[in-house]
Amino acid sequence: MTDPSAESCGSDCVSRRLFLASTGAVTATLLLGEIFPGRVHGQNADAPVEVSKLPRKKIGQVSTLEQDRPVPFDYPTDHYLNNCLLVKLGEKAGGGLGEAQDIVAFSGRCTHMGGSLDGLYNAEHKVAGPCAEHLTTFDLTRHGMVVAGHATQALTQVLLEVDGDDIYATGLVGLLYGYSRNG
Amino acid sequence: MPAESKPQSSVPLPPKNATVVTTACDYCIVACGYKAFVWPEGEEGGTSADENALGIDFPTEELSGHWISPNEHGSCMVDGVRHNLVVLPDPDATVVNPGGNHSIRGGCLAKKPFDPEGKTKDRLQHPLMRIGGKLTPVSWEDAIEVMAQVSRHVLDKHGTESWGMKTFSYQYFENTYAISKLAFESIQTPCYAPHDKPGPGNDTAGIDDAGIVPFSASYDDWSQADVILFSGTDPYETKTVAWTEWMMRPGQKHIYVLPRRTTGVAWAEANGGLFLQIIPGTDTILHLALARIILENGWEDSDFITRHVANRWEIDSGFGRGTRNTPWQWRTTWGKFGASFVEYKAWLLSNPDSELANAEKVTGIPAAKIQQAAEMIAKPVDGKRPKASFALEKGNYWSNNYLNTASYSTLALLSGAGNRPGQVVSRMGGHQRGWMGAASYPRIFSPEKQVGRRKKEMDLDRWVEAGKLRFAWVIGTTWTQAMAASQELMTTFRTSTSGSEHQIGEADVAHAVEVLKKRVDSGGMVVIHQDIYPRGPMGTEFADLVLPAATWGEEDFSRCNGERRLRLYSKFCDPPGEAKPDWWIIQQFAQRMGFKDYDWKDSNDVFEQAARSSRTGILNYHPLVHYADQMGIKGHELLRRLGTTGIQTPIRWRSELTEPQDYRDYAGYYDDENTRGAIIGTKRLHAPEMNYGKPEGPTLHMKWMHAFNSQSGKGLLHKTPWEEFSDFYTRITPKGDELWVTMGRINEIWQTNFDGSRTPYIKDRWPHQFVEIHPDDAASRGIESGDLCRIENNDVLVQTGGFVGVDGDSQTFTGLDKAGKIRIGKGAYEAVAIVTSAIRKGVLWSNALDATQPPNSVVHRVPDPITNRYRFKLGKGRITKIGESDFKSDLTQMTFRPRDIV
Repeated sequence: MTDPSAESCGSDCVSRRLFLASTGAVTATLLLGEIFPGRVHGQNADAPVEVSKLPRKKIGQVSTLEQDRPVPFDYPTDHYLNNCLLVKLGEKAGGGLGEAQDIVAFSGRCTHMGGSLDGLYNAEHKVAGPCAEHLTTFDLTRHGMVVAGHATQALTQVLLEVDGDDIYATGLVGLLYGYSRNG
Repeated sequence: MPAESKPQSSVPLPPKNATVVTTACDYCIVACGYKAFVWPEGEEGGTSADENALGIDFPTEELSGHWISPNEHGSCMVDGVRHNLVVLPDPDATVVNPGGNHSIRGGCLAKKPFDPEGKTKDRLQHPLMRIGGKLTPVSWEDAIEVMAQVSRHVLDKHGTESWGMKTFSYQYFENTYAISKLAFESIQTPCYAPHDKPGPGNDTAGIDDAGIVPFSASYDDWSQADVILFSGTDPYETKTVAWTEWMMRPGQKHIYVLPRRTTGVAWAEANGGLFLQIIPGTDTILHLALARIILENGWEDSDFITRHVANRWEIDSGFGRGTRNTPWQWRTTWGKFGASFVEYKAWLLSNPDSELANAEKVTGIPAAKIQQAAEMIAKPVDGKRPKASFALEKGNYWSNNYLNTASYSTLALLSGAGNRPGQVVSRMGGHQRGWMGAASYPRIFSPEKQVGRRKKEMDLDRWVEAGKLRFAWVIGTTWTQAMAASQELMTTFRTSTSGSEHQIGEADVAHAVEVLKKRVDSGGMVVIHQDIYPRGPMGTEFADLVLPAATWGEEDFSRCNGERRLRLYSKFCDPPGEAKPDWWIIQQFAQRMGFKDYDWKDSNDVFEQAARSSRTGILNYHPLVHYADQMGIKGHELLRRLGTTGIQTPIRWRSELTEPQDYRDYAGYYDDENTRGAIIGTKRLHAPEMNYGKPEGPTLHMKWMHAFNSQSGKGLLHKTPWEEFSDFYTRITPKGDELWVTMGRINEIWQTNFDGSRTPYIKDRWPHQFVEIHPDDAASRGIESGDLCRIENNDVLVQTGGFVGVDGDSQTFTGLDKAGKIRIGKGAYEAVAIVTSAIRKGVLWSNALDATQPPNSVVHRVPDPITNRYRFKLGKGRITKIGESDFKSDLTQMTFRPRDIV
């Protein structure tokens, strides 16, 4: 199966234009419209976003993703703070890939104090959390924005790329909990 | 409106040589402990423990409290040079926020300081005079000279009751001491009001009248409760760390009384608690019903009542006879309110208002839930009483001030709460406790008099409406948006300031003074606005002079949090331009006016002088200054050494500490080996079990430290007749397609939006005023989440006059209405709809503190006649859709997901 939105994959285009086969994190300030072309509210296309380009890693397949069934993966390394979740929300999301623009991935670490969000996906509201530590929740359709709580950064979003049926993680928007720089 | 937030992918670590100071959060009452790291731009620490000022390896561990998020990093100016700044919740804290817990608000403190190249570049930097309609920089010298000359004229010609101040009550002891010294000691004006109410006095008079100090509890006391009845507040939203750290505990059960299901409510329901979703304004009836169930079942705490609640003789003793001169005395001793247990029980059981069926009807809460709540609070299980505590805030006391607070304290006393760990009664608090009064409010000069007794504190808003105020010095508040019937108040201000024909046209002191004298003599008003940002309309439109204030981080300041914990808020950066701390500005003015005793060299001088005024109060820190003097250091310096732990007031000096170590560690203490004696804090007030030893040195043992704060030392019960309120309540109850408009605070922008609106991360979350509406109310009006709506009330009641009460009902709402002292005004605001079943049907809920779209516009300006407090929570209006907001489809700003997910 071929994902029709793969051709407009912003992260892929960006990576080819700016840096090839990076091994560590490369930071660049890009416009939201460049990262997610055609998938950003028109007025926000010019909003600048700092992106960490990181080694490309296959994390799943479009054909096997089930709606509201998050798939855990580690990114960019297998450090215990690098747990992430890939989820098909069934609803259009900021930065969402796939036909319905609903496939997103995020760090699984609460950006308040680093509590793990593993297993804490709320399918009804498309929210990660509440974190077991202090109840922070994040809206996965809106780039991990805090719905209610204490995190001083949106949930770190994983940049995705679809190649055929394969889904790749290629970088991060936001700083991973626990780190002073990504990667 | 494009998103402003720009997530960062790295943050510079403070190098080993970064300057590190301790401070506490500038915002909510909890005042978590923080550390500020400051170092020059271009330098950066490494990720190894030996390469950074935190002394730890990165990546940090989960829950370590050491991670620095990008919003915990910012910039500030030090000696004119731009520096890096990290403001991190103190990972080493052992009190308040152990381990570096924090809220989203405090977590963004690094974005607060002035950055000439950043989002805070619009900080006020110079004194400004409105010349030809344009705010124009002038010298401090000229600004103060104009103020002094016009003030002298106003005082001489129009009297002290024409010269007034409206200021924050909380922004540090040093500043509020200077403000109160000027207003109450030097000028002696009765025209003073704090930022959140129309005049001075108790916030929660019914709690005070019960003999309960509203900030008597420590956070540790709450943690020991079996059950807490939260009335009109969700501390998760507004006292965040007090809740997540000290109340979100396994086994503890919470009962919430709110019109809106919040995160805290959801947690409570998931953890054996209860949600009483109340119709706004009906809390008193709920409290009466709960009390009735408790008394009918004999669940009251009889031992406690016998030992700690006043009987009739004890109520009257010590007061003598004749006129009761203080609000507390007359409310307590006249038959209408104060009651012994026997009297109260007889009154309650014969009062149909307290019957369960009536309570269900009036409050909208199912009878079974009321019954269940009474059982959770007071029903003994296996012969053991539950330890019940009582926490209240503005949803309680800003809807029906006196009756709600008096009935709440009575319910608490019947349940045995008030003076034991886990069994406490306190406000949760709003702002920090930063008021240090230099002198008493001159009530004798107030124009207001209660029927049957002498003077009471004035309602400054009504005084302005009456055209009596000619000179208004406004410090750190927008005033009009913060008070009821905001739009009406703005109109009054506009007419008497920018609407006056007498406007300054030249940058000349003599000319300005001449023009402003003409204005005040023709019935107009001169306004001075002192703040950190240009704030509209008070600063940007009404004020003749705008004065730039220095704030948190720009001066050494001190104050207490919600458990009376005193800390130093250290200076670490420059104030912008010529901005000065408020105490300095007051000093310049006072000295120009010829007032004595303002010879302070620095903020420590003010702190040490103010200590004298703290002595008999719950914020007494005089022994600390005494001890510092013994040690040969400054008061601020000793406080600095106490770090983020600080010390709980009242502070005691003892020749030898006998308190156990855990008490010392919690309350804070300092025992210098080279100095005689030691100082120690006081954990809980009303602590009969506590052995304070003998009062030594500068220590004062006030009655309320071990007993209740009444003449007998016992708690006082109060009857709360519903008819004191029902005439007003009936009149303002929404009719037809009107809905209640109530309001509150929301976690992410509570008390911070003046800064938060300049922090892109926060602004993207809450870019606009919003209104929560129940799905049924929304559907019938064609409203969806994300729609921009207008909420309008053309029936805003505004009290005019009625300052002096002579006979029986002249100050009741009915009496005022009959006498033609209630006029009808208008108000409206715009908000983005959030359709949610979290809010009760028939009720709209907005952010109380949105200064651009203030919901107070649709709130009636008729204060509680007993206490002069507004019923802020009881607005009403019609809501209509204007159109779709950008946020409806924008995936980068605002979210409409429910907040009550647990």
